[in-house]
Formats: sequence, structure tokens, C-alpha cells
Amino acid sequence: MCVMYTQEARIKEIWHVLDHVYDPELDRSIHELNFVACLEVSDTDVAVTLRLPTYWCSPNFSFMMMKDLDDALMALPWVKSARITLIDHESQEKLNQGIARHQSFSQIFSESTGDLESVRRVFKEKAFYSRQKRVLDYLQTQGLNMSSWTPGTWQEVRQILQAPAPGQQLLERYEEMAQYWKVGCGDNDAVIVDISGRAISPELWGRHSHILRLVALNMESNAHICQGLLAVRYPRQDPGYSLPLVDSH
Amino acid sequence: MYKTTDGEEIFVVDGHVALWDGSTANQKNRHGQEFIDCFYDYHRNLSPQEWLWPHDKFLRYDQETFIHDVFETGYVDVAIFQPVGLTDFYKEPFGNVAKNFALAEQYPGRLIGNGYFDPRDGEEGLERLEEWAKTYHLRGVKLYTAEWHGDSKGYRLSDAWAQRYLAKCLQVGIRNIHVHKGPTIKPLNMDAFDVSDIDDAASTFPDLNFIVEHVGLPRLEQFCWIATQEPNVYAGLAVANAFIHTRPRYFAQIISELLYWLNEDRIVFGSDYALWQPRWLIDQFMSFELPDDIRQETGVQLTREIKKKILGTNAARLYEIDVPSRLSQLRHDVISQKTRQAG
Repeated sequence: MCVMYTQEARIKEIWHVLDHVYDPELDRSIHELNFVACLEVSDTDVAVTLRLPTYWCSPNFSFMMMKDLDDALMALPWVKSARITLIDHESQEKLNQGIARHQSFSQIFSESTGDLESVRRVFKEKAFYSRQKRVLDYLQTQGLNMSSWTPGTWQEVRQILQAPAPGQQLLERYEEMAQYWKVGCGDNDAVIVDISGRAISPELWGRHSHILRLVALNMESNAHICQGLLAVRYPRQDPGYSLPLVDSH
Repeated sequence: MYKTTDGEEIFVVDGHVALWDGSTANQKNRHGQEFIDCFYDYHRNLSPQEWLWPHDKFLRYDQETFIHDVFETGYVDVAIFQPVGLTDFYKEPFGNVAKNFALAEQYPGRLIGNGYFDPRDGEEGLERLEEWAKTYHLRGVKLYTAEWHGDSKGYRLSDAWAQRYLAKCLQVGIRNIHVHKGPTIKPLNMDAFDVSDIDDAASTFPDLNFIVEHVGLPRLEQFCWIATQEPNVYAGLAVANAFIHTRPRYFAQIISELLYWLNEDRIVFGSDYALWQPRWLIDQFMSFELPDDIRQETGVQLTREIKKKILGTNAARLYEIDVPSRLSQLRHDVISQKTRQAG
């Protein structure tokens, strides 16, 4: 089979990739977070320039985003070369060079030890719970009384969230994270579970919801800080954009 | 001193202030410039528009500005300097313990000058800590665990040398350890901002108080879980305070979580001056009320009595300030006289 790609189709595919590479701490895509400063597609070569909210953003999370992006781009059948460039960052030279050479994080930063995957899992766990929390919040807006609701099955929730698009989207995102944790999402599986798939028992429900609340709040507060910092660091001319800037003269 | 509309006087301790030098002349390298610019972005991001400073003023401001903003107009009775050295980025320390001490001497009873240490300075640093503790009567230290130090980009409080420094603190009368977590690289198998080393340190040193600045953000949840287990762990409100303006609902949620997981006795106000100004933070805090749904969900209250603890008496307890006698001392000092004259 031969697939012909137009330039337009290629760019569209790249944006799709950028929508699915996440900032691990904030569990939002680098596209949504406006971390993409520049995108160039020339024939089969792709170049993406990334920017972050501060010069000091943690190098290990920066590496994860760059590595995930590189992997995702190279997985597209028509891409022959991908160049990821991080700008305005204290470790940009090391990271840019390391990613270009397909080095691991510990090869780039010789003082680092341990396993980057374990860091990733910590954040996938937070993402799992905060996505679960968003589904629950949405159910509440659909009239479900949380204090008297016994967490049911996927089928039950799928039925409630069938029609409204935002609810379905939230459920899909939760399902994606459930799959990462290999938690069953069949119609008869319990929908509110921990990362090992254990259903939350009624007596633990209160504590569980307190923890969900805190995990989600932390993530949202961080996202708020990061987005605000990015917006003052890289002011845009978009309509409705009105963050204060100071004249330094 | 903050006075409520019904005439009640509230004692205010600002637990986190600085008189920094981020000026171009003092910057050693690009990192020095980027560090202060990052602060400036925080300032621009979360301040009310009328409180924004021009960039050059923000890099370096004088003592008169500091005294005016914190004490004369900022309601603060006592302020605590939390300096960071950052000597890999700046020629003279960014926060200067000796200069802070000199200013504190000028205004008796108004300023507490904390010190700092870096466990990677080894024996030499231990000696300096001891010397500083004597010279500057240190009761507290500010630690920035992501500080750069040659090739090293951070340390943890559970490191063997950090433990030796904490033991030294205990020996020389330092009781309050203010910890600011930042993005460290080592060890990689831990999350960069991970606060679990504070858990280790707090249980190893039950006689030290650990005030986690910025309420552990970006790891609020981890911080709350630790603080529920360790009675000597406190929440420093700097940064989280500032949400009160741009995102009051986040502020309401954060403060109610702190009240829920810790309690009203372990939350300490801090403006983080000059990132933000105590005046507007305190004005907004005093008139702030928790939304009904949050109150119902968490079951906590933010009453005036609780606000008084957060704004002053909690920090007063940590630094052994006798509030009535301190107030009568300050009532006649130069700052109070000037404020009265200004009417």
C-alpha cells in the first residue's frame, strides 16, 4: 500500500502527536500548554522547538517530554528525521545534544542515578487519580449525589456519560490511564479503583475522595502557576490575552 | 499591626521576606540573570496590576523601600529574613546574612535575620554555621535544596552531611529550619521536588521545626501527607498566599486542605517580599471567606481567630516572641512614630 501525504496532512499529523505528548507533572499536552514555540515540516524532516515556563524547569521532566516527542515523531511512517530543540533553558545544550544522539538521561547527566521510569510511574499514578476525580466531578454536575452514590461499574458510568461530549472525553482520558495501569475497564469492572485495580470499599470512600481532591488540586495549582509564568515569559497577541506587563523605563 | 474595621488589633509576623541583590552588577553569569528574572515572572504573574514593580527596581531595592513596604504600609510588626546565598550565580550573596543583621540592629524587635547553610560545604561550612549562629544570634535557617554548587545541582535533607548540619543547628540553638524545595537532579530515581527527605529529617530531629515554604508546592499533596504524620512540620504560605488575588478559589482550596490535613496551629503567613507585598496580601486575606461548598466539603472554617494564628501567633510561638511585650516595645519605635505621623 502506498500512502501519499500532502504537506497539510503531515502538519496535521504532527499536531496530533503534539496533542498526545504530555507534561508529566501537569498531565496536559505540550500543545495545550503552549510549549511549542515553532514547528517546521520540510518534506520528511520535522523540527520542533519547545519552550517551558521557566529557565529552571526540572531537567528530568524536560527530558521526558523531549524523548516522548522524539519517539512519537519517529514512529510516523513518513518521518525520516526529527529535531527537537529546547530553548531558554539552563540545560538546553545538554538536552538538545543528548536527544539528538538518542542518549538516556543518565548518559546526559552523569551525576544522575536510578531509574527515570520510576519517576514517570509516580506521575502516571497522579494522572490516574486526577483523571478519576474529573470524571467524578463531571458526574456530580450531571446530578449524581456523591455522598449517597456507591461507585458503580464502567457500564453504569458509560451510560450516564453517553450523550454529553465533555463527559465522554473525560471518561476516555481516564480509560487511557486505566489502560496504562492495566486496570480493567470492561462494562462489569468497578470504575472507581486504585492503581492496582482494587475497588474502593464504602468505608474507604471518604478518605479516597479527600485524597483525590488533594491530588487534583495540586496538579491544577501547578498548571495555573506554569501557564501564568509561560504567558508573562512569552507574551502573545491573541485576542483576550490581557496579562499585565510593566514598562521598565 | 493590622486593625480590623471593628477596631481589633492583630499582631502580624511576615515569615518570609528578603532584601536581595539581583542587580546586573552583582550577577556572576547568565544563571544569575535568569534567577532574578524568574522571580520577576512570578511577581508579574500573580500580583495585582497596581502593585507591579518595574524590572530594574525589582533587581535591587534599597532598605528604605523595604522598611516602608513591609512595616510602614504593610501592617507587619515583625519580619523574618529568609536569605539564600546563591553564590554560584552572584558575586556577593543574593541574600546577605551580614547586611540583614545590620538592618535588624537598626530596628530593634522588628527583624529576625535567619542564616543558611549548604551541606556540600563540608567541615568548613559547619564551622561557618557555628560562627554565624553566635555572631548573628541565629534562631532559624533557610535552605534551598536545589541550589547549585559546582557540578552538583541539589541535595537532600536525608544526606549524611545534611544530617550533620541539622545536628549542629540543634547544638547551637537554631530551632527553625525553613525548607524551600526546587528542581534538583540528583537522585534521578526520585521526583525532583520530592519532599520525603523532610519526613526523614523531621522524625530524626523532633526538636527542630521544619517550615516547608510554598506549602510544598508543586507537591502539596505529598507535603500534606507528611505533615499529618510529623507534628514538627509546618506550612509556610509564601506563593500560595498570592493565589488569593488571581485565583481566589485555588487559595480557598489550598488553605482549607491545610486546615484539614494539618491544623490551624501549623500554618505560617509569609509574603515572600519583594515577590509580593504584605499590604495587599493581608488586606485580601483578612477579608477573605471560604466559599460555602468548600466549607461543607472539607468541614473546616477560616475564622478571625484562625486568621490571627496564621498571620502572627503561630510564627511568634516558633520564634518565642512574647506578643504583648513585643507590641509594647514596638509601639514607641521609630517605625511606629513615623506611621503615626503619617496618620
